[in-house]
Amino acid sequence: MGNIIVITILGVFALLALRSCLRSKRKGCSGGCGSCGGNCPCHRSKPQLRH
Amino acid sequence: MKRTIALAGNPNSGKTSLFNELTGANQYVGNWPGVTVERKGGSLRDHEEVELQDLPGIYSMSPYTPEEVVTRRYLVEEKPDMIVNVVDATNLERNLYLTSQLLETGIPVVVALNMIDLVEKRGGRVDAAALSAALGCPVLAVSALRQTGLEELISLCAGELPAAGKPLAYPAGVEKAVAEIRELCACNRWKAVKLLEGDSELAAALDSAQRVEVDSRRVALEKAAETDIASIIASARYDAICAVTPQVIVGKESPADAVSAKIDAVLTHRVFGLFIFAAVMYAIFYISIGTVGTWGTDWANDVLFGSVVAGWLGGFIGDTPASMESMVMFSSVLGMVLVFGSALRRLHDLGRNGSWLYLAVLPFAMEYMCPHLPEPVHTGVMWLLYAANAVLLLACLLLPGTRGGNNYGTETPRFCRNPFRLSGRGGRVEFAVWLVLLGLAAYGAGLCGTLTLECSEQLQALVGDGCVAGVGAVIGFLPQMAVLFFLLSLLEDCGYMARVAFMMDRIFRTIGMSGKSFIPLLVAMGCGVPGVMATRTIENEKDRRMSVMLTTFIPCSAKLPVITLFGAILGQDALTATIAYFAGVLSVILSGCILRKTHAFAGSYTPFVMELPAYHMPRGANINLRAMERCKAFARKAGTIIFLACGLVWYASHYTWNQSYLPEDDQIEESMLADVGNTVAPLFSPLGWGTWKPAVATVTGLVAKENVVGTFGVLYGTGDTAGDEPAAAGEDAAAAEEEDELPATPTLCKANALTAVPLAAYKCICGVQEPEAAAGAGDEEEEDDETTGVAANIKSAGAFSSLAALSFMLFNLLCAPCFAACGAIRNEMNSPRWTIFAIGYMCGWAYLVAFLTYQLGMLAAGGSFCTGSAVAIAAALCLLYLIFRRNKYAK
Repeated sequence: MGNIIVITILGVFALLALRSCLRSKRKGCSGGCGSCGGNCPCHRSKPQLRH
Repeated sequence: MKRTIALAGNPNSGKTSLFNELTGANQYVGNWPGVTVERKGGSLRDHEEVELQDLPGIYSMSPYTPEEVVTRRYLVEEKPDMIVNVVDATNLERNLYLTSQLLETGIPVVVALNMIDLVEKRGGRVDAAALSAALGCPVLAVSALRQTGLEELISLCAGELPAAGKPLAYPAGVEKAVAEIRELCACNRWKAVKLLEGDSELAAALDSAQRVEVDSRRVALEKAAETDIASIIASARYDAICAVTPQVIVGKESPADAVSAKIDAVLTHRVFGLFIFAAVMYAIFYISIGTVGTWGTDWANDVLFGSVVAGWLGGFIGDTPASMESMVMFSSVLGMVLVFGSALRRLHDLGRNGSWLYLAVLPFAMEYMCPHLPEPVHTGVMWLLYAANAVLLLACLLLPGTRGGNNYGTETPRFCRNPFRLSGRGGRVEFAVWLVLLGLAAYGAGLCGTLTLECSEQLQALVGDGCVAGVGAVIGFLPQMAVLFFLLSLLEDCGYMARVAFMMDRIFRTIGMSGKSFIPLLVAMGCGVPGVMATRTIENEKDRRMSVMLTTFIPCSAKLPVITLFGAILGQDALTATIAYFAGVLSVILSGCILRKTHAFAGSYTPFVMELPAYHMPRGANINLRAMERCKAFARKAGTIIFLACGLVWYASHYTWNQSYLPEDDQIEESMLADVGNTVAPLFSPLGWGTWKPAVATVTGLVAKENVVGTFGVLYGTGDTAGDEPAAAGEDAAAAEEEDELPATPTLCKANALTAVPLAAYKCICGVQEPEAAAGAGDEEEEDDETTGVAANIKSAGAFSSLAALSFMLFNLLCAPCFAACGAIRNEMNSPRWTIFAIGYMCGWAYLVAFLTYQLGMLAAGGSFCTGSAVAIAAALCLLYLIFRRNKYAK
């Protein structure tokens, strides 16, 4: 029973972590660098590349 | 009727502050251009039907930087009903350049002369009426800081729309061309001027016949004026502005500017400026990594993860309940972190400076720095701790705010948003409920230490030696990171970092690069991804590509745990950090020197123009918020990417390919990870660390650089109690103290640390032992008994000699960045060939630097001459030739 509980907790954490990484990747963000202090330059509404 | 109003203006003109006052919102206000890089919306106070859009700060409406593109597209395509042009009254001439362009759009403009209080403080005055007559639009003097003029501005925004302003007049030839283009292309004046300037984005919408006509008019004007059209238009604008400003500005040079000039004369001195910068950075690292931060890190390694978490975890998943002391400590630490962070955020959102909250940690610091306090004093300190924290909670609950409500909008990333939504009395109740919930959560978490789930041995090892050890190894550096982030934010907020870019321009110019290329490097000190993206401001394509390639040489915050770990291994924390940063800068300079002399990157020097903000006292609220957000992001990354990676590393290091479990530490050589590592390891033998553990750590570091530390945490363990029976905190800690197994004493107590630097540097770089000798054996271990956690275990395992440690650190700092940064490089290069070249160049450069460091270091330390030495000498000579050869492309 203990194994099941701990594995479930670990699994939930792992899924949340994976979800966080994938969402960050989709948005083009490094995953919360924090260097912006709250206004993440990675979260642009319409990224404009110079090409 | 619904109305949309845009706030546009130069960076640092106070748009966001004004936006906050007009809407009652709480957006972040920063010192760097580019802090706001997307628009944010809100409703005008007391007028829900009026929507305000805070646009990114721009100097002109050209299409080069992302900020300009966002603003331009909004103004041209979405056409707001009115523009409030926020103008910095202390710098009128420069700000009116954008105003002249906004007046050409045909949209009604209201000029808000912000920071008028600063002008008056300096003894000056701006004649708003005269300026209004000159521009043909309403001009209001406001101060977002002092909240003056806001009611008039709100009335103007909600009332009848003013007429469109009077655009500035160009020379006759230009006016004629603009009129002809307007008729030809059926567009407004702004578009016509932009087409005449050769705006590529607007020109793409024309047909070929129209393009030919526009080009012919441009060529004719350039021929007549004997200069390019951009200069003609810009000169015309500035001529008109310079005709207006003497009539409206009354005053003399501000005292603040005079003081800034005097300080700059010293700090940006031609010769001493860089030495002062090096000294400042060394001092920052000494305080954060060498002393103050180390106290917190030692506590985290020894007490938190070594005793409290281990004890609690044993009670949760093991078969022995955690002691009361363990549970109380666990609940207390968790509760304090959550409550402190919430209180700091709450105070910021109330518009108050939360710096005084740090007083609450003083009792902690006293308790830790002086563990041998006699009993009455010890009890007094603990009560002081509880009292200080109770007072701060009460203050946060009762203090009135200066702002109302929290309106973040949907663009703000969720992890940045504050959970408190209500204002006034409702906000206090909300905060009180939040604190109670946090307290209950922390209490409940502590109680879990009595569950004794009696999990299987493998699961206990996965959680204890894998996830907790790995994440703990990284989180253990958080105190040092927090102090470092705080100090760097302080430096940035006072205006000094802008001067560094100015000083670096002098050096970069000698190698054909511009100081503009240094701005991305400064951004990259936080994270390589925005650093790479910041290269978009560089117009020259070759310079931009080179900057993209070199930006990630600068250690980002993710590499700081690696630097700190190896600083502890080498026994010179602050010096190692300084070497790491300057190795990055030197790599940029030398690589720039080499690449500039190749055909692909040859080109002329691009002039560098940058505004230097006046020096000012750092704003506590900004520094706190910035440091807190960085710490939160650091912890978040540890709980996500590092957590996953450490779990995988533990699994791969404790199971064979046949899925047999390897319970003993000495069986690790039979694991899957050891097999993979041994395949890759020979590649790194010439660098001095050809064993599988460092090789594996390097590979996992490609996902996130903190993984290097996390992997070492899993492979070497983080403390003596890792994987052992849980040790109760409290009594056992006291017993340990009695037996002189004390937490590390603060480094501040060491005498003459600075005077030992030159000798230590020589010892560190040249090395005094054989490659395979244990770095922590014998006398050195006795001298340096303050190393804790992963570093202590690595030293005692003899994993690295001093030179090999330095070589490993330099390789990991300079080689390919994390996957996220590689993705950013791919986006910016927009070419698989260039992306592969960039990443290959970084890996090659890192290998060369690490190879030269190790081989030449061994030779200098008296090692025997061998093939590696010969190759290293040849490589060094080739490098010197590439650096100093004549540039045949130089004009």
